[in-house]
Amino acid sequence: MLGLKVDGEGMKAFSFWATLVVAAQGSTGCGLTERDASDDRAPEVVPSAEPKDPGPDDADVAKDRHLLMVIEVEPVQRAGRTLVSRLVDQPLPRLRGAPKEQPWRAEVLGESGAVLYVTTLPDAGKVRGEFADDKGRWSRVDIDQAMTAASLRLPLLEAARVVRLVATDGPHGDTELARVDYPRGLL
Amino acid sequence: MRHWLPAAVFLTCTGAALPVLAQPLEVESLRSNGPASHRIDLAVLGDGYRVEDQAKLTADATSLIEYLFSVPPFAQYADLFNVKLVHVISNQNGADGGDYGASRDTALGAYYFCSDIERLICIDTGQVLSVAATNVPEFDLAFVIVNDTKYGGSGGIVATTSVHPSAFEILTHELGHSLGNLADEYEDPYPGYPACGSISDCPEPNATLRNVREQIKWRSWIAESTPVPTPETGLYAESIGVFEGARYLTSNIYRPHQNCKMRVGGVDFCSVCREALVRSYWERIELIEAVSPDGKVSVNDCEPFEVTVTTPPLEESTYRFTWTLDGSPLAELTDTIELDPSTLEVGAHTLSVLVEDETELVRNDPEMLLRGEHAWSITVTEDCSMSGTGGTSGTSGSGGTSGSGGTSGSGGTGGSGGTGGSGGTGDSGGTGGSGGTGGASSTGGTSGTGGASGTGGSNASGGTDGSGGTDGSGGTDGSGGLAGASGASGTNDAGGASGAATSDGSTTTQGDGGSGANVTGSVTAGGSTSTSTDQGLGGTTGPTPPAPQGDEDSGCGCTVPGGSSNRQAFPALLLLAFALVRRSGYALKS
Repeated sequence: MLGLKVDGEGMKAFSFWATLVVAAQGSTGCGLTERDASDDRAPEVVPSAEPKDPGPDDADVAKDRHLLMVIEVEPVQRAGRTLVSRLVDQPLPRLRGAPKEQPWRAEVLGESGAVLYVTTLPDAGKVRGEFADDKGRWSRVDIDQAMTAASLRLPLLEAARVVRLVATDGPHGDTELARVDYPRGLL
Repeated sequence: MRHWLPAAVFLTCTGAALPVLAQPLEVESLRSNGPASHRIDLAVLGDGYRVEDQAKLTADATSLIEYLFSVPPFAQYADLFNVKLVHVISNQNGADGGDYGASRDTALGAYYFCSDIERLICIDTGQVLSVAATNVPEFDLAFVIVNDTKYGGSGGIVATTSVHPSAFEILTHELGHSLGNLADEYEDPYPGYPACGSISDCPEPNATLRNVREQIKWRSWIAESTPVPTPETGLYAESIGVFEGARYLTSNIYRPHQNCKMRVGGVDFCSVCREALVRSYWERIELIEAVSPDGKVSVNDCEPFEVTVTTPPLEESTYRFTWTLDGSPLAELTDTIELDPSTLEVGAHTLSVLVEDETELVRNDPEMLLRGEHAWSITVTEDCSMSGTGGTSGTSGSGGTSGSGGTSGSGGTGGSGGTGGSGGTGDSGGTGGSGGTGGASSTGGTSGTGGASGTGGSNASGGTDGSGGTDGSGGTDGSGGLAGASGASGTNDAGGASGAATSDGSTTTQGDGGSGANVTGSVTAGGSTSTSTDQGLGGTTGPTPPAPQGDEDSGCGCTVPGGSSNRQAFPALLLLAFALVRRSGYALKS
């Protein structure tokens, strides 16, 4: 998973000693901004998140821990919910080398909707079936699951408010797949 | 080793059910090779394993992992991986549609006939990732072993495999996709699969639209004798070439090998795919995982110190270490270097190390993933350049060549003392004092006997006449000076010298190491003063200098005491005069 942090909008690091809040029901951690799964509108085409030059606050991100989220997604319904969000006592993993194009993108948005952080990920809805025949020759079939999940590793950002998943390979450009709250209660 | 992880902290969603399995489970470490942040961490989960099947889960997972890490290049890089097994407990064994029945109650909900494809196993991805996140939060990849003997599996965000022996091959092939970004090399049609760009070419490292050798991305693996495109004949069965058919198409697209694991099950990855996989490992791991000292280095004393880099373990190391100091390469080739402050001038320096994985498995590394660099800023605040630990004794003054009759006989300029040997152990020998100007006497060597005593530290004032030797015969014996006895250890660590005599009577001395005295030796020689500046802390262990050898001064045919014992320069002509005085009673008078 490649992490590219963009925009310095109000972004400040949380203290390393940020309080760990055990959120109970009603926490802002998940689902409050989920789309209604019954909403059958056509997939919304959202503007592409233009990466911006890293701001001066970029260096302020807590370096020794990161946020791990598991988000359940219904790509067709454009619905999502948070299954797990937790802190991990490790630096945010990053891939070395050149950025890789992948079919999905996760964005962390600030209150004004500005993109604070972007990371790419595989199409979590795809399941590959590849099987060898009696001579060892492979054949393949792909299916798209109606419901799947993605794990995201994100930086701790004080200004973060929303996490959204976007498909970048849609016929109409970027398509928002899901949107959940950034779990500020953990910070 | 099994252990319980601390309970994770969760947020629960309003109105949403917390995943049943988002709770700590028993976690077993199958491979533990280092800190998670510097390894590739695999989480293995079992589905369809009841309580009584947990030992079988361990056995099945172990077999799977052993198989995976027997396959090159996973085998060579197995130590880069950590593997943890999560003991997920199901109510029933098997999976829906498998060998145990159409409907099974399992924790992760695995089932065959996914999308009506019999061998395709699907699973509750949300449950799997929740369990992994809760129990192995450092995981990079998660996959599931399904306790069913029916052949099947799948790839994707989570890979699955049944326990059918052939199914393990599915997982390995899928890791080729998920880790190495490898393309399938088989030709079975896949309608709608995105085509490669005619300009950008295929994004995967093992597929190309090109069929001209110079344009092939894996051309460094193609032997000159291999034709491009490459015919699929037995002659090239094991060759890397450019074989037509790949990525679900039969023509106009090429692959590197006739039968790679990305095309055929049960065979190895080809060299090109191995290369891509190795690069992918280093894409996730830094080659330098720790350094010591960490941070800026301030050198406040003159003690040598070690600088070390820690690299991820490899069963057979293919690392290469290149150290540079202020841009100049150093000789050390290991992960540790010892720096001697006496070699550093006061001020700021930069020590750098470049670590490279020089595995033969990789020939192309355009993103330089197989490299890691680190630099230390070193500030030296104390001048240690004068201090020594050596006692490395300079060579003693070998005798000059036999002195032919001196033509000039003038007292040559005394040889400079030469760089004194560093002091004895723990002592600073200091640089040798200059040997002093040549003794003026330097009469043509008449006797050529070796300097008689050459007592170091004696005043040995130079002769005055310095007229050219009249007979100019070469020194007759040229034997070494008798003793050069003084310069006792610890008193006058002027650099000794190899008194190479020169034709004009000058003598250059090359001192051996002082014995490490902490005094300033002041030795008068040849009418001059040889001073050693000795900064040692009182040496006591300096090596005993070798017996001196005489220097024959071709200019005067005399022999000068070797400087070894005295560790100071003795101008040859001065000593000649000295000898004459002793022998003949001739008194030099001004």
